[in-house]
Amino acid sequence: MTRPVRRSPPGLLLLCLFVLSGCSSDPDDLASSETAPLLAPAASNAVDGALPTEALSQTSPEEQAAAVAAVAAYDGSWALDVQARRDPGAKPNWQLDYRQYFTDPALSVALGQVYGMRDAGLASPTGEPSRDPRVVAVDLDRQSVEIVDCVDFRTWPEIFVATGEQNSIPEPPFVIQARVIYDPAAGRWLVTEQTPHPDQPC
Amino acid sequence: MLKRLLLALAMIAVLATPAGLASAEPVCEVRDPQTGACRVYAADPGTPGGGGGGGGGASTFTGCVNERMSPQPPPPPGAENSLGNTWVQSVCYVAGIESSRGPAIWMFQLDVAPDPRVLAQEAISELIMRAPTIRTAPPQGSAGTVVGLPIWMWVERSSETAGPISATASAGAVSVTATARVIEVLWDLGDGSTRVCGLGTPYPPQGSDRPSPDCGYSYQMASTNHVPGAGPWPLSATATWEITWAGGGMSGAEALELTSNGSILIRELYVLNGD
Repeated sequence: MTRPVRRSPPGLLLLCLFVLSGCSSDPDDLASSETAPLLAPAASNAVDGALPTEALSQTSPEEQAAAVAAVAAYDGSWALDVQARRDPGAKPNWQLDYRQYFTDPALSVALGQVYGMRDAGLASPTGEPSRDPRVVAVDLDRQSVEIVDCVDFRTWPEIFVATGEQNSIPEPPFVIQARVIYDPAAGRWLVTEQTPHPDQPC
Repeated sequence: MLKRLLLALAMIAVLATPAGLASAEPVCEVRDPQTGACRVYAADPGTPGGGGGGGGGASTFTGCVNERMSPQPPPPPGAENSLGNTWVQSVCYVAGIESSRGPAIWMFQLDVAPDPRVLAQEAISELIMRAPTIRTAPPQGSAGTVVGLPIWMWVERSSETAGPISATASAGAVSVTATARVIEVLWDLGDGSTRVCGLGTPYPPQGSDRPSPDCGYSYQMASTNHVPGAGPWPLSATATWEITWAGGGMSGAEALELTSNGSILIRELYVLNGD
């Protein structure tokens, strides 16, 4: 499912934490980099989920915490996906694993792909995607964090296990937009939407 | 010479690209819906069992819900005894119209987001709607009246026979409320005539020499002359219930008809000869 980029409704505490630099994402509200990025693009590389403190100086502690937790969940979702796609048939049921990081509708899509790869004899046994996630908005009222990632799949080929033939077609990196929400029942942040934008190279 | 050779090699490389043949920037036609990665072959499994139909009334819902597949395909091998699991599909809607249907997923039932349409049916099932209670003046079972005199017709105004009534069904964070009320009553007078009314106006206790303001009738034929055994005209009142529901980003409407039967005795008007 493709969804339009959510506009920031007026009156909401919706904080643009930082914007893309170098990625050509949605020109309307993602890439309008009139202001300097507030957060460094090192969220996924942060040690113990910590973000560079100087980049967070203009955000509240609550927003910082939400951004860090959401990015950690988002990174975790990719780590799991890389692990699962390495050998999709390694487990008969991946849902318990995926429910740690995803909720619907993203959960259904992610699980469907792993099972689909298993059934089709596909896997991505080597490598992992190169990513560059950045938080673009934190909505504390809705406990929602929006992330824009720049993903390069050329380092994560998909193959037919039986033949070794490559199924993925190399492309330049493009934008993936994700929304991560806090699920009070689960007590953790979960990726709820993940929308690739192959038409937006970065 | 070298330039020509390089150009030829470059063209071969482009033509050998799986996704594109003639263009230097081929359009990828198959993508991983999660990652967007371009593929030669889609990994989406089939959708065993097909899917349920749409329907459910007008809706402007835009978004995705997990829907239980109906009928349910058999469980995957080895999962026959996994209680609580079910086959679901992520179904996405744009302005109420199904836009896409995801792959079949064997999923623990608690993960299934409730379908507002299913909740609507649960809420509607909680509504107690009864056939109308027929009232006439003169009343049924009485000595009746005579040809040409106005009859008042109405139905009892109780919540169960006229509404409005409402009920709510909830699952998780989704609640759907259904509301029902009678919007019209179709009277079959038994002599071939019908009248479409609302609930009608009750005949005042103190009496009235006027016809009903909104639901009346004057028989032109005596039932005693036309009904076998000189009996009453059979009456029926069919109430049309409008049932609307809303919640979970969707809404819809249904209708239900409930009928009650009665009778009224209409006699011939005899004029005494004064000679």
